This record gives sequence, structure tokens and C-alpha cells, in this order.
Amino acid sequence: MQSRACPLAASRAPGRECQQEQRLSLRGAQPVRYPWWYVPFVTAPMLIAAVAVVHVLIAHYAVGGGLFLAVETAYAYRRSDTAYLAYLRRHARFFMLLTVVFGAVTGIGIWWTMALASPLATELLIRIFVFVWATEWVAFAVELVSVFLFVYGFGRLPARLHVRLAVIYAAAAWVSLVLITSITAFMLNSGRWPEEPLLINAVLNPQFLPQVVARTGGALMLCTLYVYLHATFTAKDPELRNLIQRRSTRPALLGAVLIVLGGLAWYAALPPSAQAALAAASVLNVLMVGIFLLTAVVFVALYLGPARHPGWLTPGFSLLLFLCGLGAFATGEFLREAVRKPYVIYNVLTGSQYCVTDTARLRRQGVLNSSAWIRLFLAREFPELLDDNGSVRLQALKNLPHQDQARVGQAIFQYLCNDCHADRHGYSAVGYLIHGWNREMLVETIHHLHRTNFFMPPWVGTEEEAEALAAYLEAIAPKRPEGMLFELERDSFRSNGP
Amino acid sequence: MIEPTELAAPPSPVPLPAPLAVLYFLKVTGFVLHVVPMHLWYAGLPLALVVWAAGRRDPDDWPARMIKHMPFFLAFGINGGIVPLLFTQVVYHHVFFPASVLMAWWWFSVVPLLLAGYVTVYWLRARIEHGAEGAAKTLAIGAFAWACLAIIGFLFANLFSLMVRPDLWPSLAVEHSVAAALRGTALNVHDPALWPRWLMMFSLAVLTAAWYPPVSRLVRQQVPTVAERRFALTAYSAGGVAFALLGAWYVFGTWPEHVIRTMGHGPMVILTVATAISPLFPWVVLLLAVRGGVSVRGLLWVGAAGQLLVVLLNAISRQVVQHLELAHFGLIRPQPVAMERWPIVMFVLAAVAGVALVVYMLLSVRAAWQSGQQVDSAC
Repeated sequence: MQSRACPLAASRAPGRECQQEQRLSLRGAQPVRYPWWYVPFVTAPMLIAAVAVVHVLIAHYAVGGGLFLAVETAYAYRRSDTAYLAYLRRHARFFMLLTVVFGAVTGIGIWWTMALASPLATELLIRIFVFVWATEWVAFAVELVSVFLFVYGFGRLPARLHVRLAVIYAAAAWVSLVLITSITAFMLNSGRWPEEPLLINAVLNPQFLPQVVARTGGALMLCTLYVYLHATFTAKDPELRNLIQRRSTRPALLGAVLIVLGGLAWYAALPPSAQAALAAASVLNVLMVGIFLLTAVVFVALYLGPARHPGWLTPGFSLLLFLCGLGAFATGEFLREAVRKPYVIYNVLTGSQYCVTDTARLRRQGVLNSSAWIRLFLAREFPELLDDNGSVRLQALKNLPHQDQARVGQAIFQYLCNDCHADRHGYSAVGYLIHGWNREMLVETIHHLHRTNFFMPPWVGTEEEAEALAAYLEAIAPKRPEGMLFELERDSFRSNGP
Repeated sequence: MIEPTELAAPPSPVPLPAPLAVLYFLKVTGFVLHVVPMHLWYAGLPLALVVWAAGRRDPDDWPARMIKHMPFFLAFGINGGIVPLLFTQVVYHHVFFPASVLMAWWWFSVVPLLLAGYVTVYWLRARIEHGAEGAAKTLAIGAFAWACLAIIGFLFANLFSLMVRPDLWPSLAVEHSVAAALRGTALNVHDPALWPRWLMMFSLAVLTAAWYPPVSRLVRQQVPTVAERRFALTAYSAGGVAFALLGAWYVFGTWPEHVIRTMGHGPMVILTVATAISPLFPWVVLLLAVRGGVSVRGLLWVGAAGQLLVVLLNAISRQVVQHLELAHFGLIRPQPVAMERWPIVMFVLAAVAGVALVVYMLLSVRAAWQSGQQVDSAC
């Protein structure tokens, strides 16, 4: 049976409304589907970032390292270079421990954390990509078997079979990279999927190829930096060290070129809002320049150092290169996440955990009526706000004392704002942004959120809810910093002088 | 005013990617793939440590062999665990995610616990492999690794119990929240089903782990020693008694009326009885293997296959009960399906190719080791 659903596109294409959509609307009273996890100071999504940064630094090495081990083991066998084989054996063990233990667990850790911090995004991505994920799982299983057999096969297996195991591992690891990249790329630019929700449209999104190219390049470069670091600390024979450096420099240079090409294509395939965010936010364009500069530094250092003068590579130099590479990588991942705002999945799901197509419904019924978890809170704390059916009487909000309005506003803040902003202090805290704001300024800004800042989502609550949120923000807003001269009254300025 | 079931998420805006039957099949199959290696670390690690501490420390004895293999069990158990969790999130997203956010910090702690347990298992393996001195230190390392893994098992039992009890959510949410957002500090320890469920899973793990000593010999194409067969029988008998007692506690003490009604009548009674008595078959096989006089190797292979059947029956029963528990709350809702064929075909082809590659690699390596081909290297 090939039934075609139009789950998220239905509201845009009236002629294509399907049975499923009609069925869904029967229980569509809760656009805010899941409870929000309150993580003080850092916010829940930053936990994803913390795990993800560690993971990508290992996962790319898992891909590049596979290629390195396959190519270099074949080379060492061809030359019957026992010293190089001995080094590769040591490196393979280090590689296995790092990638199989830390790589696998942090990879699962991203999924784990994302399911907690962004359950709706996880639900949507898993439903869309479930068989891509399942296929990636097969690749992961092949990786495990081949890497174990390869690592424990040193000195026990004939050369041809041993190299073949490494090649199987490398191929499986790269397939993993390609499959997972289709998902991360989709989040940044969902392409045609919202209009035509087919998996092929989700996989072949505009970001897919650029990210595959950039990540493949990153895997090659990062692997070389890991090899330098490992070799300079463990290979004592200078001749062997020079050989390792000479052999592993070219892949890194190729990797740097792929990163730049992939990076440029990545920029070109960004949705306009992401390009604008990159240009508008000074921190983001500084970071963007930082990535290119760090990549250039690594490229030049590789060329002048290991490529032309292998002997130059010392533990200190390799550590510095390694840190530059990690810096470029971590920054790139941060940037990739940051330019997505206000979406988690571009044009599909906002950071505030509601689907783009639910915006109108949210506005109609209000935020407080859109989440059973908020209503549970209100039923306990402010039962007078709920009618006999359990719906929130929004008009009654105005009758609450100011302090209670602020408490209701805090609940709204948790569900609509805490995804990107801590409250008083912490990561991108709202408190830092509203020094000295009064109630009118707050209400006005809340109403025009996405107009004043295009990377903010639109306000989806009602008038009364905006007032409640403003009451909360007013309560946590710090005073305007004192001592700024142009704040002084003109007369006072004249009489006292600057 | 707020019905607990309202807290479950509404139907997903994205339809199911395949019919429910297919997704259930993959969920249960994946669970079996996960649970076999998981049993080997869950119950196998403490068993191996106890026997090793009792003096069986020869590298050829099964405790040392098992500890040496422990990192592989972990790797494949984690890998296998992806599948059932993936399909649980597809089928039961509406209850899985809210329950996990309620206990978010605990659930998040699985990641560092797993990392700590995994690294420590490697450390333990290295000490056993190199015959490191200081048995007490080795045991402490092993105990720490097991503690990490056992806590993870407890947290899994906790979440999967909480997931099917939406009636417990409101009180936990109220107790553990900040202005309607959840702190993620709730733990479902007051659920009467939690403890028998967790302990029963451990007893089932003992049943599987008891097969390691003989099966690891069979894999090496050797006949298991009498001591190994005896140990397997002893461990299996003890595990079986525990499984029966804990199973009785779980079924008669915690199953709600409607679950007992369904599982105890009609066609489902066959599944329930088969699940309950299935361990008898592997136990009889072990008994015969200890007494000898028959082809021990063939017999033990059949018994090991019987243990796989025990695990499979448990997985199927568990799935049925999970379904009934959610259906009771009206949380098994009709969901639209939008199936595309090519992703399923791609997955099936990848799975076939993957299995073929794994078989090819294992057979090639085994053939190479058997023919004694070795490279002349200084490695």
C-alpha cells in the first residue's frame, strides 16, 4: 500500500488535504506536545551541544582514521616495513579505544540528550528518517566487527585479509557519515520536504552534499592531526616519525581543500534566514572568519611543516595543530547550530517545540491552553483560572495580582523562551538583554519579536499572555547600569560637566 | 480536571513510516539482539568476578575468558540496543518522551554511567589479561564497572515502568517542577511493578549468562569441561528458581486485572505458559549434558538455541503486556501510515549485505587462524 501523507504541508496546500490531517486535527488541541525540561543556567539544549562537540571530534576521526589505517597498513605490508606495522598496531588500538568507547557512547549520548531537550524534534526526525537510521545501525555493526577483527588481527592474519578488513571498516564508517549527515543537513535546510514530505526530499536536501564534502574533508584533516599527536608522543625512531608525517600530510591538505569547498557550498545552500543571521550577528561572523582562519593556519602549517620539513614536527607543534583543528571543528559545529535559529528543523519545527504549521492554532487558543503540562501547573497553583472543562480562562489572567501574573508568565517563559535563553543568569540569559526595560517596552517587543529580530520566532500567545510574560520579565529585569553620562539630565550635565 | 492521559503527547504530525506490525516486529527483534549480550554483562560480569575471586584464575578458565570478552559484549549490546529504542520512540513516542523528561537527569546519567562502566571494563580486562597483581583492586574495579551497568539497568526498568503508568505522572510532575517545566529529578520508585520487574530481568540474565562457559568452549570447537557444565547447571538452576519466584511476584502481585484477564485466557494463555515454562527445556539439556553419555556438543548447541527461545518468548510477552498496559489507558491510538517502499528495501538490503559481510569476515578470519597463516612481522 502506497499512501501518501501530507502531514505538515496540508495547511499550505488546501487542495492536498488528506485523511490523516483531518484525523490529526481531532486531537490537535495541544500544539505544545511535551513537557519542558528546565536546566538552570545552561538551558537543556546546551547539554546537547556539550555532548555533540565531543562526539564530532571523535566521530570524524573514526571515519578518517579508518581510511588512514586501510591505506597505511596496505603500504606497510607492501614494503614489508615491520617498524611501521608495529606503529600502526599501536595506533589501531588507540583508535579502537577512542572511537568504539567514547565515539559510540557520545554518539548515543547526543540522541539521548536530544530526546530530553527536544523531544518533538526527535520524534519528527525519527519518524522521517527511521529507515535511514536503521541502515546506519547496520553500518555501525559492520564497523564494530571489522575494527575488532582488524585490531586483534595484527600479526595473526595474512596481509591481504587484514587490509581487506580495514577497507571494510573504512567503507562502513564513511557510509555512516553520509547517512547521519543527511539528517543533520535536513535540520538546517529541509528543502522541499515541507511541501512534499517524501524521504528522498528529506535526504537529498540542499545541505546534504556540501556537508558530506566538508565532513569528509574534516575527517581527513582531523585524522592527520590525531596521527601527528599520537606519533610524536609514541614513535621514538626519528626515521619512522618522518615517514608517518610524510605519509599522512597529503590527506590533510586534501581535507583542508574539501573543507573550504564544502564550506563555500554550505554557505550557498543555507536558507536566506541563516545567511542573514550569519551576516547580522557579529559573534557569528567573527566565528565564521575564525574557522576559515584556523583552517588556513593548519593548511599553511602542514605545508611548511610536515609536508616540506617532516623533521619539524615536535610534540608541541603537533599539539598546537591538534588544538587548532579541534577549535575549527568545534566552532563549525557551533555555527551550524546557531544559524538555524529560530528553527530546530528549518521551516518545520521551532526552537520553542511547536510545529510551524501549528502557529495559527497556538495564536487562537493561547499558549496556556496548548499544553496539558502547563494546565496541570495552573490547576494546582491557580485553579480559579480554569473552567469546568479544564480550559484556561485567559481573560481571568488580568484579574490576578501582579506577582501571580509573573508566576504564570514564568511558565510561559519556560515553554517559549527557555530553549535559547536562561532566565536571570546563564547562557544567553534574558536578564542580560533587558536591563532597565519597563513593562511597555517588554509588551511591545514581545508582540513584535520576529519583526524586530528575524531570528526570533513570532509571538504565538494572546494579549493576556503577553502581559503575563512581560510581568515575569519585568520582575527579573536588572536595573539599567549606572554611571553612563548621556543618561544624565541635560541641566545636571551642564552644571556638573563631564 | 486534567486527565493523566492528556499528558501523553497527541498523535505525531508525521505518519508512521511503516505498518505497526512491521515496527513491532523490528522492535522485538532488536530487543532480542540487544538483550543477549546485555545479559552477559549484567549477570555474567558478577558471576565471573565471584568465581574468579574464589580462585578460578587460570587464563583458560571461563571467568578470565568471559572478562576478556566483556568489551565485545558491551559494544554489541550497545549497538543492539539502538534498534529497540529507535522503534520504541517511533511507536510509543507519546508516552516514552514525557516519561523520560520526568526523570531527565536520571535518564541523562545513563551516558556518563555507561562511559564509566565501559572504560572500567577495558581496565578490568587489561588487568586480567596481564595477570596484574592485587586481586582486591581487580575485584574493586570489576565491582565498580558492574555497579555502573546495574544502575543503568535499574534506570531502564524505571523508565519503562513509568512509561506505561501515566496515572503516576501528575503527582511526580507537581512534585518535581519549576513553573510548569520539569526539573527532571523524578524517579519512579513507588511503582510496585518496578522491583519485581528489574529483579526478574536480572534472573533472566543469569539464565543466559549460565550458558557462557559451555558455549564459549563450543565456539572454540572444544568440548566443555565437566566443571563448566556443572557450573552452568548450578547457575541455571539458581537463576531458574529466582526467575520463577520473581516472575510469580511480577505477574500475580503487580499485573492489573485487565492484563491478567487477557494473558490468562484465550490464545494468549499459550504465550504466557510457554514463557513461564520455557527455561525448563535448556535446564533439562544442561542436566543431560552434565550426566554425559550423549553427544555433549550437539546437545549443548540445542540447549543454547533453547535459551535464545526463552529470551525471544520473554521479549514477545513483554511487548504484549506493554501494549495491554497502554491500551488500558486508551493510549494505543490509530495512527496514519505513510509507507514508502524504498527506504524499507534499502534497510533490508543493507541488513542482508551487513550480515553477509560479517559472516564473510568471521569465516575468513577463522579459516586464516586455523590454517596458521601468520605474517612475519615484529608486531
